[in-house]
Amino acid sequence: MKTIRRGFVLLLILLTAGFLFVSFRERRQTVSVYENRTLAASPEFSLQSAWDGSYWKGWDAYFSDHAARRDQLLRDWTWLQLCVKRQPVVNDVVVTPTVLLPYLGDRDLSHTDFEAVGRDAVERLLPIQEAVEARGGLFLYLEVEGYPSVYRDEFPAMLRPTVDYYRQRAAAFDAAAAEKGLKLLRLQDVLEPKGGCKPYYYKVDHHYTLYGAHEAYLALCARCREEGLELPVLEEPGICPVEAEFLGAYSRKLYELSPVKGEFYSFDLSLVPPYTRWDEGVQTDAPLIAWRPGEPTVRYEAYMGGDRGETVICTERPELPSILIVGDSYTNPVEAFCVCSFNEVRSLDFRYYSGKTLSQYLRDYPADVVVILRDSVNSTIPEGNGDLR
Amino acid sequence: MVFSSFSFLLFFLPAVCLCYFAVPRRFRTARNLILLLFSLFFYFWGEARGVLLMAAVILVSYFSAILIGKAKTKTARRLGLGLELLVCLGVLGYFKYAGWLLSMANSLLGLRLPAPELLMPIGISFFTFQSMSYVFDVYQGKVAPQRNLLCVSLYVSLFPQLVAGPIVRYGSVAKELVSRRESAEEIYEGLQRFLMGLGKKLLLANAFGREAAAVFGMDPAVRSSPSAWLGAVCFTLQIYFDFSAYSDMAIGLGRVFGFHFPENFNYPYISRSVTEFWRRWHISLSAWFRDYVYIPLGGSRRGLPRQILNLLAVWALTGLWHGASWNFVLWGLYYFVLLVLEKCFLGRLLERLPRVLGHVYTLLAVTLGWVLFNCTEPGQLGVYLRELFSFRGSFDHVLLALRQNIPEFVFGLALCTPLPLKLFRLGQDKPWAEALRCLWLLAVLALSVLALAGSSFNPFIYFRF
Repeated sequence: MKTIRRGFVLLLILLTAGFLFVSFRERRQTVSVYENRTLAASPEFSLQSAWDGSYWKGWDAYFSDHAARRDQLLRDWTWLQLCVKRQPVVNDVVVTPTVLLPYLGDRDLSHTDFEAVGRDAVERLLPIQEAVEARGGLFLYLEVEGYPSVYRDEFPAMLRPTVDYYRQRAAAFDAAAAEKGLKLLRLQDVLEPKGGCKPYYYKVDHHYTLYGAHEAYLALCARCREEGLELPVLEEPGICPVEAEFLGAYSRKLYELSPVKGEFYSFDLSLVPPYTRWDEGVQTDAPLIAWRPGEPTVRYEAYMGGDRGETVICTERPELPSILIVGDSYTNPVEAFCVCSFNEVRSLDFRYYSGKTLSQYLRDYPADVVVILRDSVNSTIPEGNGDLR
Repeated sequence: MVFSSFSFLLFFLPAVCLCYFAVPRRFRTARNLILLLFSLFFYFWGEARGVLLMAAVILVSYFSAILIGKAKTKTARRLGLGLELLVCLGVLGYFKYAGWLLSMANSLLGLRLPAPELLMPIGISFFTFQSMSYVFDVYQGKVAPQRNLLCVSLYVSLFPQLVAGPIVRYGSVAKELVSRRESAEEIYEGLQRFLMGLGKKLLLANAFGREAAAVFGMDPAVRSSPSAWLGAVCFTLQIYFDFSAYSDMAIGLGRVFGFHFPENFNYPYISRSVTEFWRRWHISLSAWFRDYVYIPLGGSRRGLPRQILNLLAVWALTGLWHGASWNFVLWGLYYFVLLVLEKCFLGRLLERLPRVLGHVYTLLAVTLGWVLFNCTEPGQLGVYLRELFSFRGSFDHVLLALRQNIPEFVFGLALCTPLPLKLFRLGQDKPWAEALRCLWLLAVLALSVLALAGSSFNPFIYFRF
C-alpha cells in the first residue's frame, strides 16, 4: 500500500516536472492557427502593472496560452467532446452530419422592433447613395445570404429562433430598402432559380464558395451594364478545386476532426490582366489568391490574402470604370474577379480601416461604382461596416 | 491566483512544495515562514492592493488578542474585542457595503452623495471573519492569545483557505501552527483530495456554469419555462460543485502541509429539510454565525419570539455576507422564513411524511433559493420566477443541454450523494483497490488538464465574497 501511494506521489511529481520541462523546451508559438488568434505575450513588468494586478493576470494568460503541447491538448479535448461525448455543440460549432454551423445560442435577441431596426439601417445608407448618385455614380447594396440563414433548417430546433430572428431583421431591412428606394441587389434572388443558395456555400466555413462569389460578381456586372457602363465580364473563370486541405473556419475550430470537409476553389489567374496593388497604402506583389501549389492547407483568407482595411488595385485601363467595394470578408473573392472588369478596384473594410469616413473617402476617390456588400445576418448591425458615416 | 490555473498547478504549487519540503522538519519556524511568504505572494498575485489591508487586519487581530489576554478588567477585554470588531467590520463595511449603502441612500432619500467605486479585495469576507473568530475565541477564553505574530499571520493568510474558505477556527489549527507532522501518507491523502476537487471544478462546475450562464443571460422573450428550470438546476449544481470543489482543494492542500481543516460540505442536496440543508452546506459559515451571532444574542434560550428575532438577525446577516445587494438579503430572509416555518410546524410534518417528499421539498426550496441568489439585476427575479412557473414553452433547449452534458449530469447527480465516495473507498486496505483509486485519480487529472487547456471559462463563484 505504502509503495503504491508513494509511487503515485512520485508519479505526480514527475508528470509536473515533465510538463514544465516540455513547456520550457518547446518553441514559442505566437499565433494559434486553429483558434485564429494571437497568443498572449509575456507581460511587461512595471510597478504600476504589478500593483494593479495586470502584470500577474498577464502571466496567467501567458501560462495558459503556452502550456506544453497545447495544440495537442486542445485537439484531444475537442476529440473527447466530438467523438466520445458526441456533443451537438463543440467549441461553439454546431455539429451536424452534413454541415458545420455557428452556435448562436449566446446572441442578444432583444431588438425586436424589426421595422425600426431595418429602417435605421437603410437610413444610414441613403445619404451615401444620394451622394454617389448626385455626382453621376452608381450605388449598389449587394446583399448576400448569411451563412446561418442558408442552413437554417440544419440547425437543431432550439437554435432556429435565433436564425429566424436575424431573418426577420434582414426581411425588415429589405422591406425598408424597397420603401425608401435603396438600390438593393439580393444574391439570394439570383441563386434561387439556380437551385438555391446551398450549392454555392461552404459546409465548413461561414462564406460562399468561389462559385457563389462569381455569381455575386456576375450579378454586379449585369447591373452595371444595365446602368450603361461598358465593362468586360469574366463569364468562364475556370473555377477548380485546389489540391490542399481546406481549413474552414468551423472545421478548424474542430481541429479538422469532423468528417464534414470542404474544398477550396481557385480560378484561372492567367485571365487576370496585369495590375499593381497597394495594401494599407503600401505597394505589394501579393497575389489575388495567396496559395501556391504544394502548400498542404489553405484557408478562406487566401482570397486577396485575407481581410485588409484598404486595398487598391490598378490595371491601367482608363477606358474602364472604377469600383469601390465596402464590406467584410465576403468581398474578398469578388474583388479578385472585379480586377478583370474594372480599371481600378478599391476595397474598404471598416472593421480595420480608420483613416477616413466613407463620405470623406468618396470625396477623395470618387469611384464610378460604389458597392456595399454585406451578408443578410449583418446587414442591420450598426457596428463595423454598418457604421459608414 | 486560482487553484485551477496553469500558473498555480505548474509554478506556484511545485515551487511552494519544493521550498517547504527542502527545509528539514525540525525548522518549524522556517517552514512556517516559507508558507507565509508564499501565501502572501499567492494573495498578491490576485490582489496586490489587498495585501496591505490583510496585513493591517492581521496586526490588529494579533494586538487585540494580546490586549484581551493581558487585560485584568472586563472593560479592557471589551476594548480589545471592540477594536477588532471596529477594524474588521469597518474594513468589510467600507470595501463591501459602502458603495451599495450610499447608492441606496441616494435613491431612497433623493441625495447626491458620491458613492465610492471600490474594488472589493478578494476573500475579504473570509479573512475578516476568520480573524474575528480568533479574537472572539480569545475573548471567550476558548483559546489563549498567540504571541507569535508569524503564527497569527499564517493562520489568517494560509493560502489554501485564504480566498474561499473554509473559515477555519483558530482552535482547530492552533497546535498545528506550532507543531504538525507532514508525512507521505498525509501528502498522498491531500493530493487525492485536491485532485478530486480539481476534477469537480473543471469537469463539472464549469460545465454546469456554462449552461446556467446561458439560461440566466438569455433574452426572456425566448426563454421557455423548461429552459428556466434547466438554468435553475444547473446553477444549483454549479454552485455546489464550484464551492465544494474549492473546499476539497483547500482541505487537500492543507493536508499536504500538515493542516487539518474542517469539512465545509456534507452532501447538502440529500437533506430532508432546509434546517438539515444548512447543517450540511457551508458548514464553517453556519457555525460562525451560530457561535458568534446567534448564541451571543441568546439563541433559543429566551423563548420563541426572541429566538425568531435572533434567527432573523442571523439570516439577514448571512444574506448580506454573500453580497451587497438586495437579492442576497432577500435570499437570507427567504431561508429565515423557511427555517421558522420548519421550527414551528413544518419540520414535524416533514418527519411524518414519506422521506421522498422531504427530499423533493428541500431540493425545490433550495433550487428556488439559488434563483434568488443568482438574479442580481433589478427586475430579473420577477421575470425569471414568472417564466419558471408559466409551465409553457419548448423543451428543445433542455434536450440540447442534456445531450451536451450527459456524463456531467450523470456524474454530477451521483456525486451529490455519498454513494460514489463509498464506491471509491471499497476495499480500503487492499493494494488492488488502492491501485485502482490511483488510476482513477490519474484519469481525473488527465481530463482536468484537458479541460483546463480547452476552457477559458474558469471563474470561481465564491471569489466574489
